[in-house]
This record gives sequence, C-alpha cells and structure tokens, in this order.
Amino acid sequence: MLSCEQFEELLPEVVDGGAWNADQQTHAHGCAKCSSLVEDLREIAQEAPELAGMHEPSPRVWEELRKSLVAEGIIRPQPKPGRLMDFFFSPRWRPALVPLGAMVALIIIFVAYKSDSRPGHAAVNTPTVDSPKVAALDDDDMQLLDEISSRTPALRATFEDNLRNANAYIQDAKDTVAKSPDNDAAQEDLMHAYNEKAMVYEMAISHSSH
Amino acid sequence: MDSTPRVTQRLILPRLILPRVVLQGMVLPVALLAVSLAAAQTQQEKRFSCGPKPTVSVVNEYGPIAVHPGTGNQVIVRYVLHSDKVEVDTNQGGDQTGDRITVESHRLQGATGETAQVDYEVLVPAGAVVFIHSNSGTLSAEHLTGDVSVEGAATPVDLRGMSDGHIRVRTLSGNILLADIRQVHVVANTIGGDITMRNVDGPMVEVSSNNGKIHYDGDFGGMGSYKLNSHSGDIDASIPATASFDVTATSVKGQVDNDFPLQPKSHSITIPEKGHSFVGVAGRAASSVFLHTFSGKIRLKQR
Repeated sequence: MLSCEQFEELLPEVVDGGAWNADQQTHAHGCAKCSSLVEDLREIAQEAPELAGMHEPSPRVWEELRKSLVAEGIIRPQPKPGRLMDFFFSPRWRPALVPLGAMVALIIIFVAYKSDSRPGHAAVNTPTVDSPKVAALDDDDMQLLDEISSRTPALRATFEDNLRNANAYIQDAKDTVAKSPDNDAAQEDLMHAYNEKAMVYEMAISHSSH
Repeated sequence: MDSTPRVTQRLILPRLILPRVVLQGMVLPVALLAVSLAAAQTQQEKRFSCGPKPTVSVVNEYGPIAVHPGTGNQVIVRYVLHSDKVEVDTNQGGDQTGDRITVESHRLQGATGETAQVDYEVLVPAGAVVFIHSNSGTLSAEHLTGDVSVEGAATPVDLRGMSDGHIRVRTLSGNILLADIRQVHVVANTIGGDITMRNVDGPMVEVSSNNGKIHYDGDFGGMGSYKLNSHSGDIDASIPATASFDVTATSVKGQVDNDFPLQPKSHSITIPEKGHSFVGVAGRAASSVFLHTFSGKIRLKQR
C-alpha cells in the first residue's frame, strides 16, 4: 500500500485528470487526509481557469515568492521533480497561489496564536516577567494617538510606546489581583498602573491644549 | 635634493595633499553654512519687572529650557529662534496676589521640529513659581527656591541644587536627574525614563518609573517619607552606614537583594517573603522608605 508521501508524489497526475491506479484508489479510500487533499486540489483546479484571466505577476514575482517560502522554511530549497510543491508552482496553478498563500499565512498565524495562548507554553524568546510586555491599545488610546499625530506626528510613537507600557503594567497588576485578591501590593500596583495611564492622558491633553 | 624615491613620492604625496585639498574645499561651504544658520537664528531678550515670588510659565514645543536664579524682582527671558517658522508670545498679568508671566512658542505653517526650535534661558527671582514644558531638548533648573513643575515627552530633565518648595516632574520617556535637592517635596513620574537621585532628601519624595531604572544615592534624610516604585525597572539605593530609616522593599515577581546592615523591625504589616521582600531598620528609623516594583529587581547597598 502507498504511503501518504508516495501518494502526494503522484497527485499532480491524478488531479491533472490522470487515471487512478489500484494502489492510489486503495490509499485514497483508506486515508481521509489524502482524499480530502485531492478534493481540495480538484476544487482549486476547477476555479483556476477563472483566476487565470486576472493579471498575472511577472516570473520574477513568482521567483521571489518561492525564495521567501524557502527562506521561511515552508518549502525546501530544491524540491524533487514531481513533488507537491512543483505541482503548485507549475504555471497552471500560479494564479491560485495568491489566495492560497493568504490562506496559508492565515493558518500559520492562527496556529501560532493558538500555541502561544496555550497555558504553560514556553516558546523560544518568550518574554519573562523581567521584560516588559507589549500591550494592546484600546479605542480610547487610538483616539488619543490620532489626536496627538494630528498636532505633532513626531510625538505619536513616544506616546504610543508609553501607553503600551502603561497598559502592560495594568494587565500585569490585574492578573496578579485576579490570582491573589488579598494581595495589598498587587492592589497598589494596579492603582499605580492606572495612575501612570492617567498621567499619559493628562500629558496628551496638556500637549493639545498648548 | 629630494632623496625620496620617485615611487614613494607618487604613492605618498597624493595621500598627503589630497586630504588637504578636500579639507580646504570643505572649509568654505561649512563656514557659509554656519553663517547662514547663524543668520537664520534670532536671539532676543525680554525683561519683566514684577513683585516677589512671581509665577513664570514657559511652554516650548521644541528646544531646551534652562532656568537660573536671577537678581532683584525681575524675570529675564532670553531665547534663540532657530528660524522664522516659529514665534514667541509673552504676556504679563496678575493681581494683588502676584505677577504671572507666560512665555509660549508657536510654530508657524510649514515648521518642522528643527525649524520650530527655540532655546530658552530664563532668570527668575527667589521664590518664583516656575512651570516649564517642552517636547525636546533638556529641561533644566538650578538653585531655585520656589515651586517647580517640569513636564516633557522624550525630554531629559536635570534639576540641581534646589531648596524649599515643591518639585514635580513628569516625562514620558525622558530621563530625570535630581541632584543636591534638600528639604523639598519631590514627586517625579516617568513611564520609560530612568530616574537618578543624588543627595535628595525632603519630607516627601515619591518617584515612579514604569520600565526605567530608579537609582537613589543619598541618606534618606530629613525625617521624610520616601516611595520609589516601578513596574519592570530596577530600583537601586546606595546608602551611607550612618543613615537612619526603616525600609520595606517588595518585588512582586522580581528579586530583592540587601547588603545594608538592617536591624529587624519589631512591627511590620509586610510579612517578608524570602527573595521577594525584606523589611528592617537602620539607626533610629528617622525616615520611612518604601521600595516597590512589580517585576524589577531591588538592591539596597551600603555606600
């Protein structure tokens, strides 16, 4: 019986309209992952002619895309002929690559986000408590930054960095208070953190009033 | 007769002569540039007669402000405009309680950070209440005896030799230096800047930085209350053996380190947690000191 890798090597012929052999049929029936892949590829094959009408980027763009994917480690530098990636990089499929690339990027981001948010997950270069976190900005913060940049664009980055730092402090203090509601030091931290944020706002308002 | 071999002359002489030629060629443009820059800059001075302890406010968008003590009841404002894209408005008001002098830079259409720069030097009478603000350039004041409020974005702040009054400093990312400040209420807050204090004491000294470092080098004197707080910045205090204070140091997530010979404190609301907090007394506990950080490190050491 064929392995998944062997099956993938023969996929281009099958999706291009070639006939199944007995081993391929057996594998496709027994392997949900590969049969799903075949279905997806066939669907893309059907849609591809419509996309072909769109403006096709120059060969240099495809080469750059290939290099980027190699650099990211998503594909190998010199794939063997007939492998799945060659199939995708054949001129026939190039128009479908852009939406596919976007999909792949979204999946990578989603997987990375999921793995980051897993409890106890410690990735390489994960910030420790000693290094300040990069905190998000809320709508009010964005409005404040827009106001700053409308008056003095050069100051936006300074205010943004410091708002993020104040927000990171608030988040740290909130987390600690949630874990230990009776911790006076954490309560005090939370108060300090909000005072810091208030200070940034006051300074922004003071800047605008000047 | 020149004994230098011809080949050496060919190789070395151009190396000696060429830089001179290039340098001489550069002197003229640089001189012209300097002259044109000087021509673009305008120096002005304004004098305001006032009663005792006036309030002086200087608001600058770009450029340094330096405040020094003057003589008599007069405020002198000297400033250099870096271009004609910026102007300075001054105003003197007040009532029976005192005089108020305001100085404000306004950038005009098309000004950039460089062309809108104004450099200020301000002389104020004793006891003047001073407010200075700028987004760039150092904000400095020395030997003043009244209340001082300093505010800047990425602006370094340098305050020295102050006495009496209150000092309030706020920056976003500018470093704050406070030196030789005696018997003054001090409140200094920054988000990303470092705070350095040398020989600072007073009835109340409260400083905080989010992720900047806080360094105190002094004796926690003046029977004051000292509060040094940070989020992730380290707090470092270097104290003489003769200092008299009680201390409570806490780092919620970080480490604390003490090599000052403290005596145990008889009553404390903080239960020390090894590695994360300590409490203790030095001398007769004349001042109280609270060192607190969320995730930074605290170090108390003997000078």
